[in-house]
Amino acid sequence: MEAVKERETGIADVNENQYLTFMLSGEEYGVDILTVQELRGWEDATPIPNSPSFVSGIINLRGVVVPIINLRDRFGLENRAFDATTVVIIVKLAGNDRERVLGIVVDAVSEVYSISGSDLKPPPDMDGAISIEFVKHLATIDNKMIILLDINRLINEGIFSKKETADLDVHEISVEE
Amino acid sequence: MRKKLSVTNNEVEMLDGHMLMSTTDLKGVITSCNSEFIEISGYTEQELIGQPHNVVRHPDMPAAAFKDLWETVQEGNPWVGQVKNRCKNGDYYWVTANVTPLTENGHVTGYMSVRYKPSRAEVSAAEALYAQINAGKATLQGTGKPSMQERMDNVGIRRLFHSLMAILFVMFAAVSIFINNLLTHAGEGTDVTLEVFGSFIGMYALLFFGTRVMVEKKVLPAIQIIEENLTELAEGNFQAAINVHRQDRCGDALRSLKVLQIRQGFMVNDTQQQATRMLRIKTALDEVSSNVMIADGDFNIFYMNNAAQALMENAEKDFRKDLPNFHANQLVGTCIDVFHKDPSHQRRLLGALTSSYASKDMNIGGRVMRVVANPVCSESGDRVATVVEWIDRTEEVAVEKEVQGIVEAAMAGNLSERIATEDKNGFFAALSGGINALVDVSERVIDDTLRVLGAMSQGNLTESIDGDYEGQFGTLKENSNTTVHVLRDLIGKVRMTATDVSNGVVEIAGGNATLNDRTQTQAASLEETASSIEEMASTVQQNADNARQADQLAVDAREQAEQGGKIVSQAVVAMSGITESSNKISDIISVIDEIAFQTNLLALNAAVEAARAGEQGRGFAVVAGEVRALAQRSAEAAKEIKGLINASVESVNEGSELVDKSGEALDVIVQSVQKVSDIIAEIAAAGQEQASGIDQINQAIAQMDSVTQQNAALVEETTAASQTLEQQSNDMQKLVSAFELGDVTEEEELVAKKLKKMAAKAAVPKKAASKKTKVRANSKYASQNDDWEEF
Repeated sequence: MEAVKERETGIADVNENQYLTFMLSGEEYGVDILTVQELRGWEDATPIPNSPSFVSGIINLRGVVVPIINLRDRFGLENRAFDATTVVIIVKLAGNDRERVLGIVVDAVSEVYSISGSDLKPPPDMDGAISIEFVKHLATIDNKMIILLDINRLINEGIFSKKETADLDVHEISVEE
Repeated sequence: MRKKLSVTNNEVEMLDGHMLMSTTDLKGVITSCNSEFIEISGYTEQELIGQPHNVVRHPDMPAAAFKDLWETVQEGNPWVGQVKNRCKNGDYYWVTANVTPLTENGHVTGYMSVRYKPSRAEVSAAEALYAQINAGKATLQGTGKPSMQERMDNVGIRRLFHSLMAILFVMFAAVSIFINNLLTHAGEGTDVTLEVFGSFIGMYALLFFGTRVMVEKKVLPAIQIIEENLTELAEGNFQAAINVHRQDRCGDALRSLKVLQIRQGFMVNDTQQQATRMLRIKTALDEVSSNVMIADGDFNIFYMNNAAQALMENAEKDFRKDLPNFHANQLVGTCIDVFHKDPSHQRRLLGALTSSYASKDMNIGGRVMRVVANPVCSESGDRVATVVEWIDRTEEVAVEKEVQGIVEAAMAGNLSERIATEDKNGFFAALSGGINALVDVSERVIDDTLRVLGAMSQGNLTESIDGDYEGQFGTLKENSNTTVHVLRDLIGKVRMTATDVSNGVVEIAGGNATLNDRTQTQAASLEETASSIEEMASTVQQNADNARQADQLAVDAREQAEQGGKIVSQAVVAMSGITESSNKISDIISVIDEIAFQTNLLALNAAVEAARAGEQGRGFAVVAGEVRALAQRSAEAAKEIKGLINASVESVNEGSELVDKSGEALDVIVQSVQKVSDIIAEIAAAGQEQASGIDQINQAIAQMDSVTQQNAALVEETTAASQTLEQQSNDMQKLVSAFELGDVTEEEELVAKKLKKMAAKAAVPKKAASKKTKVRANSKYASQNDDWEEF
């Protein structure tokens, strides 16, 4: 209730963090808004040979090569066709040595919520669509459960291994070159 | 002493050549008489033999005549004279009687009379003389030779010669006078008279002297010799010596006498031999058991043997009923006419007899007699006798009649009669006993049969014949018993059948009653049906009208449906226009929606930027939120519009489809209406057919009605008939129950039970059967239990 109030007023507390929520297979997930670079509508990505299947391709985002990750594919969910309303969330992560930018394809973006730390609850010991190791907190807003993801971990450990990351980095570099 | 007997003036003349012979004892009692005597006297032999000879004495005869007769014969001399005799019936007859004593060894043992027919002159002379004697005017004198004999004895041959000469003289004189008279009457003269007298005197003188010499020298000694020899003959001595060598007239006479002696001796001897033979035959005939009677040529009975005599005496009483003049003791000497009411017939019959004749049975006074007659003829063929054999068949016929009576009684169904056997012997006893036994058996058999049949006629079938019978009687018994048995069986079955019939009849009666009800119900239903059919007819008419209207309506409907089809086409066009517009609106809405999406993304990006800006981006975030809100609202609106448009497009599509369907439906309707129209036409035609059909139905119902009426009548008759039948079957049951069947044997009982079971099975429905099975099942268990108990 409190969060809604804050969202309506648009005034965030000091203890509050803003989360961008998206829909994936009927469940609402949230990521820290500060990890989000921007939101884009779906546009065709250039496929990359020898890449995992969950990598839909790469796009050129204002000179930056951004890999597009199909989360549904990554987590073994049923694939759906991408259309005009399919949204790609471009996230920017601070890696060990450099920043990483990549797009994740979600069903739809939902809201921007301001959630105070007291409203965060530890994840339960059970898996949902996304493995529990990538969930940071659970939050309840307007009687609906929002799963807050640890995007860093998801990207670094869930999506890219070191090698993969390295490959991607090389590739990123080569694209940059 | 003798009663006065009536006499008549009828004279019976003796026949020429007939001799009436009789012998009497010394007292004048008749010891024998010949048939002529018997015949003319009118008495029977029995009436004459043993009677004094004066039974035939006529009252006109003077006693002096008989005195003279008796005196003469008692002196051993023969008597000759005319005698008037009386017949039994009072008539009289004249005879010239010669009575002579019969001597044996010089003693008179009886008298014999031989009578000839006298001349009329003799008769009239005697008649006159006896009349005078009776009148006391004359005495008996010179009536016969006795006086002459007496005189001869007294005067001797010489006086006799003189007397004879004197008589001759007188006779010569008389003859002379007589001739003279004749000549005188003839007209001769008196001269002749003298000549005649002279010649007569001369002749007489010659005769007188010649004769005297001859008589004295020759005649008297010769007569003496002849007399001696004749006396010997008269005494029956045929062996006296007769000198046949004398050569004179006396010798001739003696030779003739010798011939007479020999001949007579032979004849007497022969006669004696014949008599002996006859005696033997007669004795034999006397003793034979056949009843023999012999009549002479004039049918006078002269012999009857002992059996015949016994028979006649025995039958005398009976014979007299028919023949009042019959006397058994007087038959000998009587004519056989005594046996017949119509003697002439019998005489003709017997007279014409040439061979043996056997009569039929004759009933004489209750005796049944049969006569066998045989004619006896002499060598010359003259009929001399008739042998009659009498057969008394009275007893035989009585037995015959008795047997016939029994047989007729038996034939007439009376078996209670028996022949008395006490008075019978020999064959008749055996025959009677046999017939009685036969009738006994028959009576027992018939009584038994009668008893059984009588019981049967009373409806009692329990009787049977138990006696022991053989042969056909046994068969009769067997058959009677079998008949009763079979009848009893049959009646038993009939009785059961009658019960079944009765039940059946009751069912029939019930069924008939039901049928009657149903028939009446049917009749009522038929009436209802008839009225219904009338209603139906009007309904059909109405249907026809309706069909016409419906046809009209169908035509209208088709037109309207066609019109509706056109309108639907127009509506389809309009709908497609709406769809087009809606699609355009939908496109526009999509654009708006895209714009709203993009705006939302932008606003979110702005919110991301604002968040990154921190405190500085706060205001910006608010704006971004507002934009996002707007974008979302427009997206929602667009979504709503899109939904509405989609809905309307869908509705229009649906409407279009519906309109299409309406068009198709209208087409179908048009076709259907067409079909309806056709069908209605058919209905109209069908109505017409129905109308005619209903007419036929009406006729059929009328027929059914009449048939039902007939059925009803018939059912009533059947009901009546079944009631009658019921009555009859009851009667039949009563009738059958009138039979008494007694104890039914096991076998029959079994048969009856079987029949009953069959009848029950046929009549009782399946329930009974199921019951039975139940019972059986129970019994099965029961038996099993028993088994268990036994275990």
